[in-house]
Amino acid sequence: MRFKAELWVRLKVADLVAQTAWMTLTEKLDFSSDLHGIVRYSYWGFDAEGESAEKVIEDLDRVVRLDSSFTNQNKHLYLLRVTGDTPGADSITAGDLPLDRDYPVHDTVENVEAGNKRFACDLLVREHRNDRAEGFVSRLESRLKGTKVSGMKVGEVWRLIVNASGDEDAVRKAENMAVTRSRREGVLLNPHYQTSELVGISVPEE
Amino acid sequence: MATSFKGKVAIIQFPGVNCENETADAIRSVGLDADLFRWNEDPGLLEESLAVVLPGGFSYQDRIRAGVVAAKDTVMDALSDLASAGHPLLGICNGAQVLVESGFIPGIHWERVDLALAPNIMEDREGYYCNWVYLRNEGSSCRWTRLFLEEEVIPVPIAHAEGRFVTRDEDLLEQMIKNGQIVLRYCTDRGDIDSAFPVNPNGSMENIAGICNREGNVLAMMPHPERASWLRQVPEDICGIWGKKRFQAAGDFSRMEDEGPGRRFFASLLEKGPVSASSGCSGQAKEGGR
Amino acid sequence: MLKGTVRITDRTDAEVAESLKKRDLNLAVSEARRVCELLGRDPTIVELTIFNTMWSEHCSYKSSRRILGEMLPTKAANVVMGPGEDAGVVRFAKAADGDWHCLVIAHESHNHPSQLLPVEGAATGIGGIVRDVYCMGAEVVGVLDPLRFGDPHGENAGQTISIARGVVDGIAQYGNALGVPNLGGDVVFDEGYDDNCLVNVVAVGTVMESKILRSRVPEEAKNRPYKIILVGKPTDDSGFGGAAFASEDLSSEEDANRGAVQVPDPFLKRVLSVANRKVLEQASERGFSIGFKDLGAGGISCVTSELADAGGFGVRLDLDQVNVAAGHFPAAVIACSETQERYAMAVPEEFVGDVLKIYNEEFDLPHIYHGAGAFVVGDVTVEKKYTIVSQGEIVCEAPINVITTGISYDRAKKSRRLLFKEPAGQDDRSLKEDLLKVISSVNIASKGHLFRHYDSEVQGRAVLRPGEADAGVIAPVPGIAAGIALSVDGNPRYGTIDPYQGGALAVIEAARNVAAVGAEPWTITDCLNYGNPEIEEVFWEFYEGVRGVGDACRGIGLISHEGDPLPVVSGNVSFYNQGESGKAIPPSPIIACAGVVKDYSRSRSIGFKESGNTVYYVGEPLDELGGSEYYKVIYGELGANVPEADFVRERNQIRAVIEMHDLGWVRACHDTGQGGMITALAEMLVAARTGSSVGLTIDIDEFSNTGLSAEKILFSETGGFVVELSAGIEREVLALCARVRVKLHKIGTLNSRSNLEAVSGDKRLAIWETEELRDAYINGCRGIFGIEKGE
Repeated sequence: MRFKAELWVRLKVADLVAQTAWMTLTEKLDFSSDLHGIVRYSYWGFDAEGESAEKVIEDLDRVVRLDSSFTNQNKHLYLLRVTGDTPGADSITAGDLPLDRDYPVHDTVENVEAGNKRFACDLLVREHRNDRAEGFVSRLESRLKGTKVSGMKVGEVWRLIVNASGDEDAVRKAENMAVTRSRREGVLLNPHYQTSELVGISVPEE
Repeated sequence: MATSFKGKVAIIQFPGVNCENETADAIRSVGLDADLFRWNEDPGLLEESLAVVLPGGFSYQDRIRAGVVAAKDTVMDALSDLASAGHPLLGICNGAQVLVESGFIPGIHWERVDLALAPNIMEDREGYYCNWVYLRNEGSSCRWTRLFLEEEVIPVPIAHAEGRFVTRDEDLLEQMIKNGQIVLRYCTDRGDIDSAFPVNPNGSMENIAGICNREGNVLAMMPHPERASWLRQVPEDICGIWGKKRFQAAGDFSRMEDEGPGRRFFASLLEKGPVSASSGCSGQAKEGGR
Repeated sequence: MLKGTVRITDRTDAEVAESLKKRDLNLAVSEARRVCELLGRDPTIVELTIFNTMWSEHCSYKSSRRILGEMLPTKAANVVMGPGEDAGVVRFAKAADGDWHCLVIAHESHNHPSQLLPVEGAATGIGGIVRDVYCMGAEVVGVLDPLRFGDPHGENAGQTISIARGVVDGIAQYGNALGVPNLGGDVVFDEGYDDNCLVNVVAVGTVMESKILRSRVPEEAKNRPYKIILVGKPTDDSGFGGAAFASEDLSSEEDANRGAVQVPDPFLKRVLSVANRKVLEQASERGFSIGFKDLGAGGISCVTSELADAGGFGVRLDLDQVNVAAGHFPAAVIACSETQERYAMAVPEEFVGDVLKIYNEEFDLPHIYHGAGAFVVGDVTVEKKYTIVSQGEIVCEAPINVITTGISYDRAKKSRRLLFKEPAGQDDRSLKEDLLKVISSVNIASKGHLFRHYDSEVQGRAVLRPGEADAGVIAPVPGIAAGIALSVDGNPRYGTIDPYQGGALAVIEAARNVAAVGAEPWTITDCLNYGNPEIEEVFWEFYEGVRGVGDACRGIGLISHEGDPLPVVSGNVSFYNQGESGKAIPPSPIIACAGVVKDYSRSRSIGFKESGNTVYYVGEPLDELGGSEYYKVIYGELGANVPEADFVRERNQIRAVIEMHDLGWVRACHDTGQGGMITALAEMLVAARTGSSVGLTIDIDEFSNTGLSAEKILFSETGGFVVELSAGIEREVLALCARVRVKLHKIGTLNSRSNLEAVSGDKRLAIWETEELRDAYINGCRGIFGIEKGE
């Protein structure tokens, strides 16, 4: 059976890159009242084939836990999960990253406009070229037992916790923060070799 | 840190750059004065400078993407004004990345980011790559390459992980060519353009190693001319005329201290005369030659 | 009783052991009791933690100190500072004003962290070693990295390759970003390192003798108040990994884990070093003496107590003034954490404001790195007492010499007697195939693929780069002809057969490498990597290795100062290098040699230059293939006849080769250690200039007096040099060699055939086209350091 699965990995220690992104967006660009926090994850999406969702996660887990090009337990937290419409997908996971509680707030700004609230937009940034992903597929091929992986997406997810009036407003703001169109716009990706896609939007509990 | 940059070349010291001192040395070797400008000093000081150089290194440790954080610094506001007024500005390696992320290069739409310096594409390897390469001067009206002959081959070292000029704008390349903005291309030791690694060391489109703005006063180049400004810096097995010079200088200290192939980028600043605006014709630089 | 006192005196040994273990302290019970004796009371947890670090093997050299002191020569005409400071200093060229240009060198290991976290471990290693050189007031002009990994084709291949790549990546990330060129290093693969890699790092700097900074509070502090400033990254719990620490609770599980990783930050380090330079310049301009030291193991307590004690002062430290990272840390953690990228300095009170302004405003440290900055954390006191205050209470108080007092052990040693034997020869071997196998083996084949991950060009000083010659050469000072040559060496197989020869040959090899570019071996540093010193056989290996290093240093000596030894000016000992099985690594003394060449323009690459030139072999091959690459690759055996160090012969050969350079004769030179003479010739041919066609025929009958078989002549690892000299000076060459009493064999004249041929009289033994040699040599390691896509 075919499944879609994802691996999210983040540093246990302070992420200096995310800190720099935070400082650039809030101090050098004018997003100080729109942005509450940033988290950065390494992201792998898998098109997998295996006998069951549980087995796919178990097989992938064995590899990603031991292969330092995915995770190193001394410095990373990770979450491996099945996505899509697989029944009971929510409970088929591995790893120690509390993704659904990972909403740090760095600022001290109150919501500026009435009715606004916090949205966490997860933007996947990756290169137009897909050869890193192809490399990982062949890497997995030689290490996986049972489960097969036929395609992958590899990149970084930026979780931008923004202050917005609704979903659309949140996504628009997140994209403005992300895409470098000019010197005064965006920092997280250069569209001439990178793309972004929204892979999740959620509302953190206040 | 200087209190005045009058008549001097200012080298912008973003936090994390690391080639500022040897760049200053190379500039001084042509008889010009150079001094460091710390990124958070008063940008007004730069107005009196003779030229500005963004040196190589890792501004803000290349966090997020090489050059992007420095591109948003306030000093770039001042450089934007200076550069659009024709002030000479050179970005080397990380400096080139800053110029591209600032939209000064290609600068056809000023400050719009029309290019990227993307991760290298190489045979059998990924990431950082340090080696000597050959450049061909494409003969433009660039302020920084006036002393090179058209199609002159220049050996210099590169050292970077993100040096692949790329754009998704299909017309841009043609416009840049038409404008005479493609200044330097990676080539073989004989000056032939070969798109294969390692002649093209990073997979750059059209083997591009350096691009200037239309007016020719701003140049972004990935190779490091300051590391090729003395003959002693040239490796023994470099081919062509520079290799021959280096070979013959072995055992002779004073000849080894002579100029190297990269020094002329800096010496070009000494050439007087206005830069013709948007000349577009290749071949004009010839007269400025040796 | 002081706050947080740990009861020891009235407790039984078992209770003390339990109490130490509970607090994750490695002190032995006897050591804890010794602390009580020194203090005259039970220690506080802060004090106990300080002694725990100060008395660790890493800081105290408790097992090795006596032997190092007995065996290693540290004084010579050129030495400004020997071991004891953060780095050693030797003079190398006199300036016009009578001051001296000095070379600063330090050497360390970062083995265990690199095994666990290759990228961060190796990066932190570079970070630590450059700090040692910076804090002498020097500019760091290069790093070298001797690396030892497991067998990349063995049982553990996957892990080995992954560690090797991670380590290379860590070195590259840190060194490249810091802007310090990588000038070389060596890589050895051996199954003895399958469970325990070695990552040694060497940093080299230059400084004028009059500008050398001392790691001590200056004399001037007697006359005016001095403050202690701590600058750099906010202190966290680095180095206090994992375990629940001390008696105080950590706030959450995440905090408990964080300490496991030291996070190196070359960016902050770069900004710090630029700012440091400005502080030092200002101090010098305004005539302030200051003390300056980097923070390494033992953190704040170690650095401040050593700074003060070295100057004959005391310190009163207030931990509440230390900038800490987010989180709550117990006093003992703040006092002893190994957080990276920090320096401490002692400066006069009237200079404090300027120093803080340079770091915190001009270089904007708080914005460069969250929580970073410079802060006044204490006072220098004339009373020689060491006091730490935390939250208004004294948590450590003792005479300062009690804190810095060392500890030492006499370890027992017992020689191991292993039987090594020579392999039985085979008659039907193909010389042609054998050489191709040897030069494509991972320990010989080109490391060019690896070196290109490193920035060797930054600073613009490189004359000969990694891989171009036996040693890297830089022109360190603009406008002067003196060059510095650097090399590292250490062959584990020699040490396995005979630990004494392993030590001696490491020195000899490193010295020969710098001589091969015309440099006089000028100083060495040693990093002595061994297993558990409490095991008698291992301690014997260590003892023998050090004895070999010491004998070789005296035996080779300084060529230009008859009677002076080649001085050891700094070094490091790394014990407990063993796998989970407890099996120790092969004895691994690793030596870095710095040489001084009078005129760098005479240093040449190993590549053959021009047909018509003459090729000589300086030396003579003996039946010494024990531990050789040939035995390993062809027979899969170690052999027994390890090369035997002959110091007089080595000294004379080195002198001959340096003189040939000084006379301007040398066109190419390569030493013939690993792989023997034929391997050296093949490498010289492969390295010939692109497009040039040179070739050589070697007639082994020239060596018939040795009575050895062709294989032994060609692959013997007895030391020697192959030199290409200009034509027409044969008589002078012979005269020189006779005068300095070295054996010389003329191998032949370079032809233009682009091949290498071995003959015995009129019988051809083998012929190799340059192209096939190049293929074998260039691609031997490609699978290891060519980074696979997807990483």
